[in-house]
Amino acid sequence: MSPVLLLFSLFLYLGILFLVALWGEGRGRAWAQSPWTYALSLAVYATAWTFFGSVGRAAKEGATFLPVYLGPTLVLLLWPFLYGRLLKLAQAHRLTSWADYLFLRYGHAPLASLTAAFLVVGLLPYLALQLKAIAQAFLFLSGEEAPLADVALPTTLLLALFAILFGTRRLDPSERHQGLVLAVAFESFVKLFALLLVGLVVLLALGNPFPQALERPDLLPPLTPPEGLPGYLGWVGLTVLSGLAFLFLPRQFHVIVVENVNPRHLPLAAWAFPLYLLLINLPMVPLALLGRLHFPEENPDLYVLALSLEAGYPALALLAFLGGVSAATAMVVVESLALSILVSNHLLSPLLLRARALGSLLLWRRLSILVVMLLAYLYFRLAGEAYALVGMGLISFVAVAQLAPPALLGLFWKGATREGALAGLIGGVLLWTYTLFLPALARSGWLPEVFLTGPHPLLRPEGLLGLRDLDPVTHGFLVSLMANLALTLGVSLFTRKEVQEEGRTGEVAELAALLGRVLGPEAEVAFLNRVQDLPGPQAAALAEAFLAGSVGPATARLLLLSVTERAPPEALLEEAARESKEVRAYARALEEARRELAEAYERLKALDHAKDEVLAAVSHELKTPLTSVRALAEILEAHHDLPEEERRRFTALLSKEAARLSRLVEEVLAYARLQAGLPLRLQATDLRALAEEALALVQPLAQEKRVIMEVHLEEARALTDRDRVLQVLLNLLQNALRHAQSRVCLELRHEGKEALFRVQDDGPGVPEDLRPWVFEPFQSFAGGTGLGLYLARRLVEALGGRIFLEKGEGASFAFTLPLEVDHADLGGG
Amino acid sequence: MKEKAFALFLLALVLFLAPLGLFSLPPLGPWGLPSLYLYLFGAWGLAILLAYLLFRRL
Repeated sequence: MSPVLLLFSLFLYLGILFLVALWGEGRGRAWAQSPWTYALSLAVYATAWTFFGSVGRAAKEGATFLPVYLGPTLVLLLWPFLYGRLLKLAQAHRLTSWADYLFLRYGHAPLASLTAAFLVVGLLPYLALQLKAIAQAFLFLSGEEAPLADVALPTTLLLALFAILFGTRRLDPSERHQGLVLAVAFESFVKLFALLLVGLVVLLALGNPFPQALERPDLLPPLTPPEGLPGYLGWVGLTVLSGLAFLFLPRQFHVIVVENVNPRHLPLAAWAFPLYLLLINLPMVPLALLGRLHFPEENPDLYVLALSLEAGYPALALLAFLGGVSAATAMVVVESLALSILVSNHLLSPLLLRARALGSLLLWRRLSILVVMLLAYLYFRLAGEAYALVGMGLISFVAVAQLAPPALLGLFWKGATREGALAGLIGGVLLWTYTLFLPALARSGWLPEVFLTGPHPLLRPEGLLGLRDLDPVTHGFLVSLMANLALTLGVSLFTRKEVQEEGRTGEVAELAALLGRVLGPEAEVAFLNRVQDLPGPQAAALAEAFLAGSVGPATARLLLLSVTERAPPEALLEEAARESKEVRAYARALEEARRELAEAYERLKALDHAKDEVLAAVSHELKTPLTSVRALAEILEAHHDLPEEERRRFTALLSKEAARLSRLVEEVLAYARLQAGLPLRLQATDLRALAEEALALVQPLAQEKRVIMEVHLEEARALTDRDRVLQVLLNLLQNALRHAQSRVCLELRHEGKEALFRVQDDGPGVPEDLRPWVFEPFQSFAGGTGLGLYLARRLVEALGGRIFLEKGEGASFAFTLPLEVDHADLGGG
Repeated sequence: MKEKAFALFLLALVLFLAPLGLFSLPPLGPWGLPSLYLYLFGAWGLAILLAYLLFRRL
């Protein structure tokens, strides 16, 4: 196949990837946030190792390629315990990696820095593997003999550019990268489609390989289970190893935790992603067997390409090449981005802070992507050719699995200490280096033979303490992980102490200003929006989370030192809380009093206003009869010759107006007396005689109005102020007569220990909406001062009774008087 | 739900890590397909199906 065509296809595919990422940042944002895209993005786990390497491993070692995919399936089934918890922590503290989590859990900067540095070193072989896969496939298809580096270097640089463009637009790495996620999901689809199509077409073209395998005894071992204890241990070890690697690989943490837009996407991913893995592994065994049958001498890692050509479909081989490129590029982009965040958060930021150059952090993060990629390229050039794809990947898997003891124990066991975590990690790293990394370099010829044989038979790197027959990866994994776990547990048990929570507190304004200086005005505004009503320590914690997301937790804590102070001890906090509680209660009482005072003030203002109005009304009421009296008097004086009949009519009018004047003045005086608080004049009173006296006084008015007076009076005597009772009775009777149509009824009877007066008329009655206001002062509903019923209420209450408006036809006012009065408060006002 | 997820994890663990070397599996089984892979992919598919039934309504 023409190298130019291959190169053109490669760069065309990368161009499409750029477009997909751009679309994901813009109009395709909804697609990027779909749960299916999330599930597909998890398939960044399936790299060139899967696409090319699994067929190679299946051809050489049979079913041992499968545990690499069974392990992640097991881990995803535990998502409610693992990822559910991680997502909450990541959201609260803006975690971007497991190293951030270790710093958060153990509060130990060197531990997180060691983790970051180790992960970069440990994952270089894995990144190199991807570059090797692309270069190897390119050279195979083009039939060239040129150095592998020819195509790997420009591809490396293009992928670095892609990661920089779509992964480091903002300083905050905990921000989601929608374009990147959509591009990764697109690549996952391409590699699955390509591998399934290659498997199907090759099977149809070259036939079913299984019956042929039966005739070839050398092809039977890949179809049988792992043999013996070493084989079984290798199977179990690989399953556990791949499960841990899936959990702790930086790129998996990035796509599963950092890029998660909705925690509810996890349940779908928990079955959809394992299904993806199952589907992509379906063609592996047939392709491996067909490869062994057709190309016994060829590199098994290239069977996917070779079989496509053998089937007679060069276009299929090109699609297989692009599928492998897809698998490699997705991994390289996301892994290099995740590693650059690790490097900048835990290695660069503290250094830049000391050099007062934190402002250039984004530039350094971009540079670190480039450096990581170039280091991977260098590793590929130096050591890559000595290993099969899967062998290189597994060394990296064992490296990341070293995070498992400190991280998982830290997540579920409160007793894990920073000393234990550090001891475990250092022990695991040393053993990984001794049993896997150094022998790998020795196999490449870069280190002497002694790194393979060891200084003593018991110290052989691939068979410590004389262990035999174990696969080197299984051996290195079991040895390093057990040592790591034992050290983490043991040292933690010996260094346990009471955990002292380190609380810090700070002024919101200073914290906001710090965020503004380091992260920009947007972060300052976002912080101020969220910090309202938060106490000092929580505000400091929120500011720390903001900073940690961008500059890493260690640097964030250093930055906060300048604007925070240590929170007071627990006892002081309790005392402060108690005092605060009392102050809050006092403030509540003050607020209640203020509210009551305000209400009283408003009521006074309304009364004062009403009083002004009634004074005006009373003046007007007085002026009308006074004018009439004056006019009538002038007429009588000026016309001595008026007829007798006319003179009597004028005299009657004069008397009526004078009576009206008298009533108005009496009401105002009564109100004044009431306000002045004049004492009661109590005396034994015959209430029935008093009622009859009142009736006699209103009788002329009743006759004038042609109203029939009905009377039902029982005998009753009480110790009371007869003048005031008479005033109330007259008031009610005059009211009733004014509104009655034909009849007014006065009733007096005993009600327990009270005497009840009831004055009822057959008038229109009091409208429903006015009933609550009828006894309020200055509430005039039919002209007049509006004081009559108010005065009646005050007088009755002063006498120890009650006055009320009853429901029914017309108006029915009733009031009670105690028959045995307890005059504790006899004030009239 | 957590208990069911953990039970499913244990079931899958037992199925995936079964010591198949102790059983005498013929190289080829039903439909001329390899017995080992039929078992492994079958167990895997079963775990995925149960996970789908368990998690689909969440």
